[in-house]
Amino acid sequence: MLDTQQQRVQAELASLFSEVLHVETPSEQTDLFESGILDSQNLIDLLLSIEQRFDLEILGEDLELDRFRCLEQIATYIVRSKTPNGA
Amino acid sequence: MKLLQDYVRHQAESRPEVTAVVCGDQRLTYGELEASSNRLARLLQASGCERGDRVCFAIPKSSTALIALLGIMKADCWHVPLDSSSPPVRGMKIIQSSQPRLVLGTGATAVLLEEMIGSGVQSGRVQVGWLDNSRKTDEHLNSAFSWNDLQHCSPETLNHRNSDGDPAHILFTSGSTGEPKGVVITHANVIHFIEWSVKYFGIQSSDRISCHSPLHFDLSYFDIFGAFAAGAQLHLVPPEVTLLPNQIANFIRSSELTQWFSVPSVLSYMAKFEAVKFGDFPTLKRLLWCGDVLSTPTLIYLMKRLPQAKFTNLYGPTETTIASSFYTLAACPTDDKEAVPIGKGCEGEELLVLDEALQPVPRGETGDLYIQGVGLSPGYWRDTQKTSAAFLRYGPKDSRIYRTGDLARFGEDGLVYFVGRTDSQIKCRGYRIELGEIEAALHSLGGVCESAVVAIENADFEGKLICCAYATPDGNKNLSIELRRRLSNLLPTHMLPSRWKGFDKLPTNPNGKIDRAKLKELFLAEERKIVPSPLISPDVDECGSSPVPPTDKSKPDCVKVNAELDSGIVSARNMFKRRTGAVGGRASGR
Repeated sequence: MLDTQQQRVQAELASLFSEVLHVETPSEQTDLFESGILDSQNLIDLLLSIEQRFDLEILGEDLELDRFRCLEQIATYIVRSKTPNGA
Repeated sequence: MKLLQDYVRHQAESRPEVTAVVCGDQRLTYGELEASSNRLARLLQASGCERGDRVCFAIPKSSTALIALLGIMKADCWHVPLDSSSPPVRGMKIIQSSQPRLVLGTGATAVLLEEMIGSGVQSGRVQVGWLDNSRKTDEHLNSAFSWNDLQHCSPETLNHRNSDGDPAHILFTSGSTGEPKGVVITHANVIHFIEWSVKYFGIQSSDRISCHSPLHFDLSYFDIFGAFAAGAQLHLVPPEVTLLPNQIANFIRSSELTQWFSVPSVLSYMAKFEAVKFGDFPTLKRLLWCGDVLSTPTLIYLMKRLPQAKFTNLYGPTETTIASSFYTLAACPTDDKEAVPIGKGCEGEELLVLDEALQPVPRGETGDLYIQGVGLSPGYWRDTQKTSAAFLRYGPKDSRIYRTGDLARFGEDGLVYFVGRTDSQIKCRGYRIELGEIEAALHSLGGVCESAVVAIENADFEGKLICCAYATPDGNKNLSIELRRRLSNLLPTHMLPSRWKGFDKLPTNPNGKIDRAKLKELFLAEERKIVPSPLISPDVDECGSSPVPPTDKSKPDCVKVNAELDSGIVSARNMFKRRTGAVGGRASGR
């Protein structure tokens, strides 16, 4: 069940890159910072669109670079923060 | 007469062992800074640099960059910073326009420099001084010296040949025609601001001062020379720290900063994601911002959490040096719609609100904002036309005034309030952007028959969103990703539109011109389509206790995913936080 959720979130997240950031969708494990896909300008756009699309609130304390380094990690974070008592 | 480098010499003579600059694990004392910059100035002179020569500068933010900045000044030269995050073509335009005697770089920027210089038509090879040991020579670059050569030069103080009316730097900003324009700033311009600010803010040798802005941004000169004038410690904020709000907050805590100065978007970023705690940053005495409007909810958020700090809004365009006016909050605003003024002129500066005939408008009425005083730049680099259009003569004394292009009014309190812009220049996260420059770049791409760039209010964060509308000959409306990618080869990231929309044909007004007002409406309507979250309607109460079923039919997958994930539980939302970023067109300073 969790795997399916993870995959669906990942697919939804992938669409944010093309629809919101207007960049090619990266692969699951591409380092978004090293590859230059994310920078201080569009990272904010991504975070805000994640909050909107997944209806969650990202807290400052959750914002570690290592949680947001690739698509897979971000999807894991979203699934965890949406699961009651699961974070 | 004083020059900017004299601040460091003075500290090095009296307190050479005191730390001047902290950058990660690196520390540089005033004595080291003085000696190394003296050596570099001699190397520059030995490489042919003379008074009035320009020296371009592509060095990552580091203590070496500060040695370079001072070394250039000590060689009687002008410093021309290149933005290493910009595409090479843009850097090349600046190199071609400023015609430097020499370019300073490091291994980290070597590839960029090669691309910059290789991308332009250049007569002869460009001389490069390497501030590390990456000595490189190729068909475009001629290596003049590298870091090792410094040790052969004397660290003794040099006698300068220039005066304080000589330029200290040329800062290139966005130009409406597509070419960056260079603002010439003199030593005296910067020194006037520094002397006032050290006195007004009471900056002391015990202060620990942030340097957040990139070095091609004039805000950083306040951090740098304000710290050096007072003999304080300058803490360079590494660019990677600014990626995330809690990293910025951690930096302020762990560096025990006493002064923070940045563009407002950094502060909003911290507020938006609640990175600041009550009673946080106990050492912080002053929090200053400049470059854009700080939303009042963000200000309230910060003032409530940092009651010990003094909050000051600074305002001023590059053409009038760092900042021309200031307003320090006497108390935390009680109403989040309260406008924060841009205040009154700093010492030696005056703000004027005038009509078309250059006559003062009555108090309370909106007019064009002009600035006169000691901060006024001599003008644009090699552009007398632009200079005479922006710098005018005024009043019985025929004083020089600068037309800011901003609209403002005097309030009943005698303070000036920012109202808006008269042209298509916008501020986006502190960056000053001419929409015309983006359009010019788009037109140069080819493959697009019509395009227009407009800016709308960002409903969810600070400032403006840049929106691009385009139409292609074959009616392809799915070119956004490709156009953005191609545009990124021409423009820095902060100038890339964040919203894109393909059209069969762009809407026109009765005169046949592109209807920009209509385009703005269309883009705003798209924003409203995104904003409603699929699970929470806007009228859910503060505790979010009444989740409503998903109604947004436009994103069925998303709704499904959310419905699965939410399991019927809606997290309690902090209503204040939801409002924090909303500016809603309110003008409260800049």
